[in-house]
Amino acid sequence: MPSEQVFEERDTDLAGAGALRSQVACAVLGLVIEKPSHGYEIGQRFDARFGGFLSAGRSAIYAALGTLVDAGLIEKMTGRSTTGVRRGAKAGAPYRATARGARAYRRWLAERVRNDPQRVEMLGRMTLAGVHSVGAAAQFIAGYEQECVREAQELARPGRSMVANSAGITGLVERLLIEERRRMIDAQLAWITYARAEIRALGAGSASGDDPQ
Amino acid sequence: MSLLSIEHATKRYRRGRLERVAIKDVTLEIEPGELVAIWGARRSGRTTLLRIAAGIESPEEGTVKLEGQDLARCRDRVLGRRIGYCQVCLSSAGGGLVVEHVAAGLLAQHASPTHARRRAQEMLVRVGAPECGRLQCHELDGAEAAVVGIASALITAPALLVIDEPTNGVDLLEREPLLALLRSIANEGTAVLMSTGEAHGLAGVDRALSIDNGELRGDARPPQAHVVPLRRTESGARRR
Repeated sequence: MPSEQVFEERDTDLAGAGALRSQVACAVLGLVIEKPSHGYEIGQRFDARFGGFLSAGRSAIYAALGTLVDAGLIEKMTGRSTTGVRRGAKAGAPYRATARGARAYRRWLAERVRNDPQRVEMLGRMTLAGVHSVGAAAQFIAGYEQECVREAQELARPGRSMVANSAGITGLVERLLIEERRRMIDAQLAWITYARAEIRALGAGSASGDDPQ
Repeated sequence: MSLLSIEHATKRYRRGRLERVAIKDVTLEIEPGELVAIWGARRSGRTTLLRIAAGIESPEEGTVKLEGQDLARCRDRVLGRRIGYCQVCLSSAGGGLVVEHVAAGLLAQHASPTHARRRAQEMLVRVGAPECGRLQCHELDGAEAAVVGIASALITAPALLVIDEPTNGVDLLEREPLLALLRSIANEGTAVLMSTGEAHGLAGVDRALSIDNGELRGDARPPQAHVVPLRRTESGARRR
């Protein structure tokens, strides 16, 4: 990988991490990745996709779009795009995701979905929006797996182990909490194995994944 | 120079018209004193990778080097000496008594039976199972079989211990001490490479990698550059 690209990706990490602190911004980014759109249309699709799950008014949607543009994760299109979306006369130019945005979104998804208490629903909704090819799904799963493996490794970090190894009820409670978390990670890893089998089967069945990123 | 260096290793298995790629283009380096765990599901390639790291099998493509020496050329000198491969399931081939089983590695190197038995008992003390020496192999429970297997692999003082699923068949409450034993072995300078199918086996390791469909993911190389130990010159000054 050329060094310029490495530095560019590091910059992307910083910018993306800031912009994607908001779940609304991340959901908006997913929608833009799915389909380049004008702000008004994004608002409508946001309601249809995330309504009742994430609440955001039009001003919050436009604020999220501004933040994403500033972070270089999306941009306004000029002229006719390859997707066929034409520049609108009233609503201004439609937004589309940059390559940085697509990378940042996948990374965010893999990192956050693991800890989100509503992760099952998050997964279903956000993968529909931003992970829409076999290659992107495999990449998402790989990131998710790395997060799980990393957490399993951290479960025995010295401070926590010291408490867990102590006698009495404090040590017992800590051990039980660690074991609960560990079993959840086992379940997540088992799910990842299953998901990979599904993705491989889908990849083998289709001629190619239409991955614009 | 790393202790173990696997570069772009690929291994396939064939049965009739069927071919399965067990590991694909795997690169992995391990330094002395590292505890490295590889998580993978069944048929992910984890055992094949360990067998290749131990020199039991050769890759069809790529190289495996221990201390800079190509295992393809020095396997007989290295396996069972500089590399200890640990099987948790004991066979009775090394003798009925556990102490004889543990001593087998030294006896194979033509050590005297007295010396081999003494070292075997020392190894059993080292792994925390001194009382197991006088038992028959089939009398051991899961955790005892695991630590006895480790003692058998350690008796030749290897630089690298390779162990496939150490917690497999071990009771839940006995897994933690077993993993602590592997940690202590690594802390003493013997690199440990282990596989696991559970999150439990990843806890506290220096590097945790994963393997799926023969593809290894994670940090294939140690995060820090290998440090060349200082040596004393004839004048007593230290130099690299």
